[in-house]
Amino acid sequence: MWEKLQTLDRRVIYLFFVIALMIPLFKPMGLPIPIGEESQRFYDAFDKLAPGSVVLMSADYSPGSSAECNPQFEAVIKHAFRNNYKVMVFALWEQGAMLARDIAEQVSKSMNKTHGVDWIFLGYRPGGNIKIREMSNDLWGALLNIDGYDRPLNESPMMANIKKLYPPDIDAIVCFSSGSPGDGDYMAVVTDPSGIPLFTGQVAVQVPARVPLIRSGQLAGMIPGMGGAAEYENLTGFPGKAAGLMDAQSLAHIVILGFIVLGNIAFLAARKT
Amino acid sequence: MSSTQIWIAALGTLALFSFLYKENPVYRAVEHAFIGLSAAHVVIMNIDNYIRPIWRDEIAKGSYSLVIPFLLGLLVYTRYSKGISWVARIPISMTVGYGVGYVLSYEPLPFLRQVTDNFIKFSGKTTGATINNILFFVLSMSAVLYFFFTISRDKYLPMQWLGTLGRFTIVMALGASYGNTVQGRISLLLGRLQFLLKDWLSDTLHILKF
Amino acid sequence: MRKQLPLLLTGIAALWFVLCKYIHVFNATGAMTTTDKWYNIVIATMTFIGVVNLTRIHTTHIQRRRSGYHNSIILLACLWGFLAMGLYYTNKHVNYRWVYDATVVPFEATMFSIIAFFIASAAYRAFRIRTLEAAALGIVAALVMLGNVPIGSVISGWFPEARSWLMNVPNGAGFRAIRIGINIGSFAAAMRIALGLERAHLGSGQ
Repeated sequence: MWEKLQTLDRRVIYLFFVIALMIPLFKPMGLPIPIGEESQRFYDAFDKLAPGSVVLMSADYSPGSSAECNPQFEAVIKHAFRNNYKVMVFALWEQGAMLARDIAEQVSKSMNKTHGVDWIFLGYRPGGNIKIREMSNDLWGALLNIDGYDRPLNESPMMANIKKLYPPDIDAIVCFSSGSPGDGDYMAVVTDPSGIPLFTGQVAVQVPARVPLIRSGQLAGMIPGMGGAAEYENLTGFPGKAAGLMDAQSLAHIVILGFIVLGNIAFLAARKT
Repeated sequence: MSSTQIWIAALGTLALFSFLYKENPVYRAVEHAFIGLSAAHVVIMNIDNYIRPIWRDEIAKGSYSLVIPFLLGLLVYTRYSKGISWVARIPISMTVGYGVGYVLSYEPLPFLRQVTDNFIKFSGKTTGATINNILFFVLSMSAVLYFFFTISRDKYLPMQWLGTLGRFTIVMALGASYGNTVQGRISLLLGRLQFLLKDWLSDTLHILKF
Repeated sequence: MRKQLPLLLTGIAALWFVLCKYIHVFNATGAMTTTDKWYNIVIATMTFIGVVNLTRIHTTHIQRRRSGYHNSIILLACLWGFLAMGLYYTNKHVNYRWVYDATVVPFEATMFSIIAFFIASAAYRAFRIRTLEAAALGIVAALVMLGNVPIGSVISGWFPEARSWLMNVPNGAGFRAIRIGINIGSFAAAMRIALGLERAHLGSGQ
């Protein structure tokens, strides 16, 4: 029996797994979401920026990571608009630009923010880390003097004093990253040499590797995955999609832990017999 | 999203998920469609966001020197011609060289900050913080020493102990990585399930007039 | 010439980049910004190579009627159809966005989400605690998993604290070491490429 259990058809495992995920979506358990120290640190540091601070929000992820990064982006841009920061939405990834634009347009409309005055969509530009270097020397030239809607940058009042992606023209960078190019490149080219804070929203897979950067102060704050997005939604008081999915996350984690335990019990029992 | 979009997305999602039951022609067809669409999108984004504006706003207005990098980029397509395929190495070697220059110029600073952060003072605000700082230092140094092979572990016992400690440190880091990976992957699946169960199901019920 | 010229160009490009970073006059005259722009244009021009490769490979499949060649027809139809649509409308047009939002976004998200199922089945079938290291890995993974989700804090307030300590101390130390090792390795590799000792980027053959 134990050998059979060890070689259980994987489709049975998939079925249990999907059922565990679906139950809380239909019947939420309402588990309280405690605030983790990483999200709290991000919130506190981001909130400390002065009103009118110029913040670059870079959506460096693809639809494959959008389930984690979209809620993070939405929560942070709402926070930025609430605090009256000037937001520049940019992307080093082709798909990130489209995803970020939709969210920014939706949120700016609901919070009465005007494009060109309170926020600006800079679009996607190729080049990765070299593009960041180019932007840090000549932002307008790197963007070809147009924004993400193909409108001249000189038509946007907020861009009048922002000529470089470097202080004193900008005050902070928030990078939502699922790979490279991403936060590591902003860190190397802009934030480490200049000292301005770099915040990041990370996919859960990359969170452990970013912990040493928080410890050294190179990252001012990090939102870790979908759980972090749910915590940030609670912190800012703006309800979002992530919080509603944490019940399903909880049950799925219990199921996977159960599978690990069951697999090892079967393994040990089979070895004994 | 419109109803038609929701249905296209939902049917495609279910077709891709059908792979979990068994490899099948529907999954293959949708997978190939996705590859084609995705590849086209990358090219369109580069053309619309960079190439078209450069030609329209800079080259057409007199910056003719920018034609040179275009020609350099086009050289990469000579790789498909047997006689002059070596010419494709020229733009590749230049871009690789530029990337290598980036690593040599910009990567040292973040790296050095990581190294210097290891040698911070141990005393923290609380006893727990102090212990954690000491522990962090010992664990990180032993993990670095785990990759250090110049001093033989067979000859020097302390190297063996530190190497073992380093190995366990890295194993624990990988364990933490696995724990976070589980959450990350489940998040992606939840996104799709939420779409199917909320957006698609409600649209279906709406069509059926419930 | 065929190998020496590209190697020389690699070294010159790397040297130019490093000089631009440390010698102010190159930055002040705008020479650095110009070469950055050239680099970005070269990269943008080269992105079409994926399309060319896919077309070559799948056209061959269709011509030779290899098994599954009808999938190649679907791929090429979607590739060139969407490309033509994008060139005609541009990516900002509502028609292009309609197709993009209905296909690329959900399909890509679904492809990545399938991995969650593999994690579940791999956890059951392959996660075997045979050694002390495997036990350490498993215990840390379990504690981090429980600390990451709300149910962990409901079961015991200790789980989030354990998760926090594990992430900050052993995980932080381990990844610090990994990061140092990766950085040293990348410097060494970069030096080798810049000095022409590494030729992998030139491809095989001639």
